Amino acid sequence: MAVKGHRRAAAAVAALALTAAALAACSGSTPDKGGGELAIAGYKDPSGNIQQILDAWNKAHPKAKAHYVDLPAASDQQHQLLSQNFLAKSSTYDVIIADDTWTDEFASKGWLTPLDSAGIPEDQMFPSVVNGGKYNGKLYTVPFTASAEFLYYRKDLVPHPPTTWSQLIADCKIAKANHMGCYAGQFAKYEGLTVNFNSAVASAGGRMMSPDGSKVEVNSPQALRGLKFLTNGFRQGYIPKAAITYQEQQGQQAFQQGKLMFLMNYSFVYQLANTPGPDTKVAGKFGIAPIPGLSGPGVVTTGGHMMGVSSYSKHRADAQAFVKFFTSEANARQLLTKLGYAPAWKTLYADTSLTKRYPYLSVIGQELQHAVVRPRSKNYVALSLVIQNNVYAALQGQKSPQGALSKISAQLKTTNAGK
Amino acid sequence: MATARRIRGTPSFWLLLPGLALLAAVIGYPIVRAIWLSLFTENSRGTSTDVFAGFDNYRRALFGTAAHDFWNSVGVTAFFAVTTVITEVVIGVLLAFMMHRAFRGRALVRASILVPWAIPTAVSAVLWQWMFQPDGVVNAIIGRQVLWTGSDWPSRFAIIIADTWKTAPFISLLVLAAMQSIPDEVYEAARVDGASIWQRVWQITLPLVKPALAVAVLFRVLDALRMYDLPAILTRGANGTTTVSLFAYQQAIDQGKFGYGSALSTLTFILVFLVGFGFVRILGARLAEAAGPVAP
Repeated sequence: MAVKGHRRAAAAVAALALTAAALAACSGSTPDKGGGELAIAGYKDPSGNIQQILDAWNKAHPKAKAHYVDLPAASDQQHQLLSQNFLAKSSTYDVIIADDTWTDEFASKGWLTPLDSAGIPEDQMFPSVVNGGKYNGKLYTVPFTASAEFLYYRKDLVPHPPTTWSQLIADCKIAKANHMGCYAGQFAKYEGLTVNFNSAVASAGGRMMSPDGSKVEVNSPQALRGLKFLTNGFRQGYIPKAAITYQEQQGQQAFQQGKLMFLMNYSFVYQLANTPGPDTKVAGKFGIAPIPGLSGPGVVTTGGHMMGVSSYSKHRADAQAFVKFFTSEANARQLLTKLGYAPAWKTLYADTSLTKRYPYLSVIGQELQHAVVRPRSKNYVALSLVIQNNVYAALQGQKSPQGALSKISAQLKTTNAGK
Repeated sequence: MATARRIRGTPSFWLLLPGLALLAAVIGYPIVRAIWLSLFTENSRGTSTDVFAGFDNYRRALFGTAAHDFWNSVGVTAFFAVTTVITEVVIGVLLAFMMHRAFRGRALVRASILVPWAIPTAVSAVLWQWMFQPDGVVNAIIGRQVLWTGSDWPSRFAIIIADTWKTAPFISLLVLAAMQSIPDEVYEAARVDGASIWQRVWQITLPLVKPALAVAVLFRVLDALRMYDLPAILTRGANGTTTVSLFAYQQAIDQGKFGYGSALSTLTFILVFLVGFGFVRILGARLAEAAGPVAP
């Protein structure tokens, strides 16, 4: 009797466990934040500020409520999920948040609705950033933040920031005297390397593709000078050898530990490095400036998070209105003050109360006047991989800079031809 | 009586059918579908993979435009398979010998030695990536500034070290189990005959653990040929560490070329199958002889 009851209990527990596991597996696949008409798919925002903007929309539009669907943090995983959603022609996502480099790919495949009639005030945003959302002259995605790297420099060692590469290299003897690395950006073999290479080429007056994206123009003397600034850095030593492994965090840590004199990085470093504490040795000792270029101020790569409307959405009109709302100036101001996102709106950079609170705003504003985007391609992932492979080999000294550029040029031509 | 006969008479096939159906759906269908998909390529817009291309994808990978990259990754994979398996076998067997002796705390050592094997590969890859940073733990211990993930040979060594750390315990435990099943009388007889320690190891222990070792090596070789997480996380395939699986993933998932990616994974499947088949054929005969005298 007792044995039978024991067995029955065990069977019941096992059945319960299996059901629980099955339910857990099922519920994990469709994240549901409760009803609502519009589904906004984007990266997870733990601060809750994006949700606040959605709440404001929901209050004003009770008939077209929006809820947020979390995508993974890594941008290539977001790209995967969005591609799968569009390939299946699914109406699950109405509005999507995308990198600016995916615009060409998504728009050319007919996955996004043109937003020209949505009344987005493009002329009040920086053209360099807005252009990242255009394809074939039509607007497909709208930026709600603009990213741009700038130069952090140790003002206690170098009172005036360098404005050209030769000045920067000349300043490096101060770094040597202080046993520090001189300059670093992001040079590991990942997307950040493409950004750094793109900025270096542009800062030397070159460009990767023709403005309409049809011709590959990376094999030019200007681009070569841009690449040589980086390869010479490793060869001559003004870029520390360890920088070949640097992504954004590693450079930030080196700078904060006082091991680096010049750092090219994004705005997130500012707060972290300037807040006195055990993590930083440079609080109050550094300044910021636009990045230097070959013969004058440099040209930086801008990219941002863009919002687009899925062409398979069942609520395209509401979705377009939502995009206009989310990317408005008021919300851009909120994203800046709450999350530190640099805005795409020109007007916000002229607001002195903001520029006083966020010193990097005026630097970014200066750079956005003539920033460039990454090369346009319908298969941006393949393009970026080609650049990463060859530039990385050149930085390691395994390829000559000219050889790397020729390889990139040849491979870009085949990538763009056989898409 | 009648019930017993009826149960015994029921063909086991029908009882196995639900399980087999599930396996066919979960394992068989994706394989068949991948092979089918590998015969197609994307339409001009890239919105679906429905243009019939026959064996074009295979041609491209084996002798066409991507042949250089593909065969490169096969070479890299073969290199890793050979080096990691050899290192793991040597270290694993040494560990097994160490654990074979009775000493205080042996049970604790045996339990803790399995910890690296139990940690998911992706987690241990992130761990090792952190340790291999230029200013990280490994460089601090050896006192030199090696760019583990920044140059060719250090990157390869980094992957070999991380992989060995994770799987040598697996081999050591399999070998240990076989060692423990060798009856003591065999050793005593050898000692009586005047065999030295070295002779006992070479002529008794190792031959008798060969079957278990062969199985362990087979598992490890097949695993190593499919290595993906370590190069993906440690080096992202840089510095000549792109294995076949990583290459297929980059083409299929990152770039959405599902037809071409399916062809690459089918080629990987064929490669692993051939190696495994060859292994079993070569070892199968030897296993039959070796297992003779100690057959249970």
